[in-house]
Amino acid sequence: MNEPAWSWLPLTLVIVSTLTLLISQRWRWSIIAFAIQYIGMFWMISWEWPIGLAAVKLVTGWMAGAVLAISQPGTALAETGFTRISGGGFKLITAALTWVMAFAIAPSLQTLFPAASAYLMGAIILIGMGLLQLGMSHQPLRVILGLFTVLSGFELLYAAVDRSVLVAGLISGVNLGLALVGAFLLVNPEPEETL
Amino acid sequence: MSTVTFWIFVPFGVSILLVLFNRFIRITRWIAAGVTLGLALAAAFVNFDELVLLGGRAYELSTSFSVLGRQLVLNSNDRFFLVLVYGLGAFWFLGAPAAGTHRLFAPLGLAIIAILVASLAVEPFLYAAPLVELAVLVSIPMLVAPGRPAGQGVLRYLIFMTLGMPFILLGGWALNAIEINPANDTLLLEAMLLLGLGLAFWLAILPFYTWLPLLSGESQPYNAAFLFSLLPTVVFFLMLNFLDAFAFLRNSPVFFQGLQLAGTIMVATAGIWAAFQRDLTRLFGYAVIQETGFALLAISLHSETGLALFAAGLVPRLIGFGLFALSLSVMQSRNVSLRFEDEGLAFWQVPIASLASLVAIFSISGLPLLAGFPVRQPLLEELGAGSIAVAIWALIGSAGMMYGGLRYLSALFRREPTTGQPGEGWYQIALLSAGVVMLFVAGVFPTPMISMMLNVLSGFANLF
Amino acid sequence: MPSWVVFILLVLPIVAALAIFALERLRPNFGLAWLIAMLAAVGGWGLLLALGLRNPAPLQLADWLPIQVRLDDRLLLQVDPVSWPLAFSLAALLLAVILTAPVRLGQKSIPVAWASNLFITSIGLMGVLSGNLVTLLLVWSLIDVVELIVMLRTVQEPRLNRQVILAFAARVSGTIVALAALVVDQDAAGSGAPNAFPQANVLLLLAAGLRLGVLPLNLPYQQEIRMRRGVGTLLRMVSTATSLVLLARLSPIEVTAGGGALLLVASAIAALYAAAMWASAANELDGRPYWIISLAGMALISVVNGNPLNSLAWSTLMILCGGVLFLYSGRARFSIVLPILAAAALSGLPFTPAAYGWPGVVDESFTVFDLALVLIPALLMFGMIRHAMTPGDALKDMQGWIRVAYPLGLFMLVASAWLIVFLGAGQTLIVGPWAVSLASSLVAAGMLFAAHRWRSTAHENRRFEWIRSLFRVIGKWLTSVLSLRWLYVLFNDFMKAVHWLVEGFSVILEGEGGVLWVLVLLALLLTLLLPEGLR
Repeated sequence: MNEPAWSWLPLTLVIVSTLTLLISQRWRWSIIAFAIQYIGMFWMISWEWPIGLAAVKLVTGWMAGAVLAISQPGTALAETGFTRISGGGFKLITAALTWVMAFAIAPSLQTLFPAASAYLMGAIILIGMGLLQLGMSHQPLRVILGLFTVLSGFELLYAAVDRSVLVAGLISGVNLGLALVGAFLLVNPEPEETL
Repeated sequence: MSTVTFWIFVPFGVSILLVLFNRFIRITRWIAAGVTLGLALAAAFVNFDELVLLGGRAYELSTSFSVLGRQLVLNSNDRFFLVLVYGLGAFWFLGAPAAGTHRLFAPLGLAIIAILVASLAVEPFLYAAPLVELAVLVSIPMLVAPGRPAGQGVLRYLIFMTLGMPFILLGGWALNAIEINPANDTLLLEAMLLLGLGLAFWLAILPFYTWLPLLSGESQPYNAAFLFSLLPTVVFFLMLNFLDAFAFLRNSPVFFQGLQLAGTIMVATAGIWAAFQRDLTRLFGYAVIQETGFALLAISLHSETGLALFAAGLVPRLIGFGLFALSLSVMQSRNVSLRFEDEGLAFWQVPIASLASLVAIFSISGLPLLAGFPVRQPLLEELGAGSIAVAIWALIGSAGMMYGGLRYLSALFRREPTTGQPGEGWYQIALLSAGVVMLFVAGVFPTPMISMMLNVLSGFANLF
Repeated sequence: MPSWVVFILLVLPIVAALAIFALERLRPNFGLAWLIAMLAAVGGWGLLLALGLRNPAPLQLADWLPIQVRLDDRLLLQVDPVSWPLAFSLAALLLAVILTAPVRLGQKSIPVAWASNLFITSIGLMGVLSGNLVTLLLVWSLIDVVELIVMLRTVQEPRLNRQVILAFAARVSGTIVALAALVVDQDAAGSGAPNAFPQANVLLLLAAGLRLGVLPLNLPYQQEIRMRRGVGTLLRMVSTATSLVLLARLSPIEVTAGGGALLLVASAIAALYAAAMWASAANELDGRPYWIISLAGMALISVVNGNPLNSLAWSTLMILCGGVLFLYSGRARFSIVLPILAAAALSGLPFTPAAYGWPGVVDESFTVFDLALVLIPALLMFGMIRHAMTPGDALKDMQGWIRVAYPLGLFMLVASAWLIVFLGAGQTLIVGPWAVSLASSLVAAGMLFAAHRWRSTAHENRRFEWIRSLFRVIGKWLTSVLSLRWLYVLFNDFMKAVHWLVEGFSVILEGEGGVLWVLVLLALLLTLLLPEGLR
């Protein structure tokens, strides 16, 4: 399969954004990284789908980010039991391992998913980084962001083999639902204000 | 008018209304119970694809509904499934007042049922995956108590159930691709792997079941049990749909061997873990895992008897879970600790709930005389005919669960007796007692229960 | 004879029990309640006597499960040469309990207790008349639950509660082993028809042994729980009878020579130890569990030797002779004849009921092992007479009709033992290995004489006090070894180790990073299980 032009750029966006999501302790940076992640994802999907359909993913992702942002996460990303340097370093190393793994297995996936190598690498990186995020944290916001990341990767893989509008719509619905659940989990512990 | 309208859109619409008026807890519970009971009875007695008389006028009840170019179909083959699912809903909603569930249980529960029915009605059923995921998302507010942070169990539940969706989607796509290219063995194996992983996530097959004991320990037991009984049931029917639709899957020995291996590991590990639990809620979680394992084992037999045993096992499971969950909820509502070391007090404060949970544990473990035995024992024999090792491991799992029950029994009578009135209310006593009686009656006279449940398999034309 | 006769046999005690309960609620009347109980007991005993002469058709509920399964899933109750002796024994015991109940009025022998006895006996009859393993398993669970409830209501101390639950756990373990027997039995696949009782005989033997407390020897009750004599005796005997009937139904056991020897030795040790403990018990009620284990051990030995039908002799005598002693609360000079008759029935001398049991445990070649077996009935007989001679309630202080009913009840037990021999199709009046039985009787007589001498020369025995102390020390050591408590402590330690492992895994998988561990496990499982093409 021919590599699209500038394929390294969305891949870089994905790598940087997922790394930021993994390491960052500040919710604003994470939401921005989240938005950039979806730009990268949208860019890649546009290689397989029409722009209009691919834009659905971008809009959904940004809406999800907005919903999470207005839930005022506060210190929702703060980790305990991890110092900044050792925690960040450990995460960087594991992220690097994920990139190496993506680089190694992407070509072999082309038999199943007929897409460009960079495309598949992006998908695997998203899945791998998302799983790392899920495995390394028990904060609700991180878990939600991690799930979004994993789902983004799978959406990329699925987009390479199927162009169903209904599935795209349903998955977007699921993404928005996930964002709402994330907002719920962030807001729920707060005491209800009396009017 | 269509069946889809009645059995999907109407309950979903009602659930939205109930969410809006969720503060009126009593009314929402009884409305949800009434709606589900009514729908279950309607599914039992109304003939689909025929004229229905309502208020002196005849209406044609069509069985399909088109949405964005795809169909939602609920025909005569699905009647018994609708009876099962809405009957299940009615069972749980009728017990909700006794369990003291919070105000979102009934509205969200009704919505979940409607969405899950839609997931099974949608064609092609590849689209079931996002719908199941939507149901999972709707269930989150039900599991997290208002004003409290989400625990590990809820987060892991969300993670694993969400991760299942893409695997099912990809697996479904791969299965469709095989129809075009049936000679591709690698694609077949990959399809089975993807589907298998998706089902493993959804059914909490080892190693993805760590969230079950966590969730049962964190959430209100009744809410959690509602999901534990509903979700796996629907997922199993989804699996049966896949088997019914794809001959190469149905005829693949690898698939059924995988099911048997997964089931055996689940049953054995859940039983062994259950033997050492010191918390009733966690014991409940392992009981759920074991029941799922036995259901897998039944299907893995790949025979008419195996499927019949799977269907027959649905009712003892439902009653056992319901009774167990209700007992735990009653104890929790009386501020009784659910840890074994405190159970000596529990027996004298809530004696009926304590004994009911004990009976439920023994029923789930397959003790003769209780509802689990008539299904469990033939299943073990069928397994033994194929592989003694599998049957023995399954029996070890059952023994482990029984051992857990015996430890709980010992914990109940650890203290000096005290006097006083039982702490349960009259409605709680009535439901708990009815549950215990049902377990004993179903254990001694299982034929009516089993005969009724065999009907749910009538919609699968190709499985036998 | 039609099968509904069996139904009447089972329902009659239940109806009588319900009538007594209703009477107690509405219009309490001691005499009427006793009359109802007695009539029901007499009716049941008489009906069973008639059924011994002419077996009825089996009562069965076909197709208990509406699907095609491999096990014999009928609910089947039948009166046949195997079940009749035990059923008749239980009916005789019930009759004796009711007839002797007025003697124990001062010990809370009340109508509710009589109704309980009727109910328990009905369950026991269901158990011994079970024609297949599924029916028997259901009854086992029922009797276990009933016993659990009765015992927990009786005891109030947490320490004793624990023993009750341990006893329940031992019985449930036996049920689980029986379930394994159903699973392991594969003969059905070949013959096309499911077996009523699986061919996995060793497992069934172990199941019965566990429930009886013989294999392995387990005595959950470190001290016998004080219960009403009637209810306690019936409960114990009914529970035991439902396990003994399984032994009699086993086809001759096929085991390796080593396995057979192990089973024999284990059973013999248990029986001998229990017989010794019975003989040295403070009273007959304290010794009751040992009485049961000892005779159950003899029944087991018969089965291991390939003579399951001979086990019926020991089983019925356990119920009938044991019943004589356990109900022997009122004493008079003449009434000692009854325990002596019971002991004689147990002796195995020619033409006694136990004569049929001896061929099951010994054969023509007499070995050292058989010497131990001779001791067992000797100790049992010695214990019977010894306990019978201890003071009890004076019968002469009671009303006239009680002084008639009471010995009549005990006599019914002894008479029933001989009736079984005369009427039972499987048992005949035989001479048996008279040398062995004579030796056993002589040993018993010798022990009685020695005990009598020891007591009568008590003031001279202070010189031999050291022998007594020595015996006491040896006895304690033997008890600690043979009671197998050390085995159960080891088992407990093993379970603690498994618990530690389980706890460790749970902490890893459910703790922080658990999701990553799950993914690692998944990768491991996939690597191990996937076919080559997919790795």
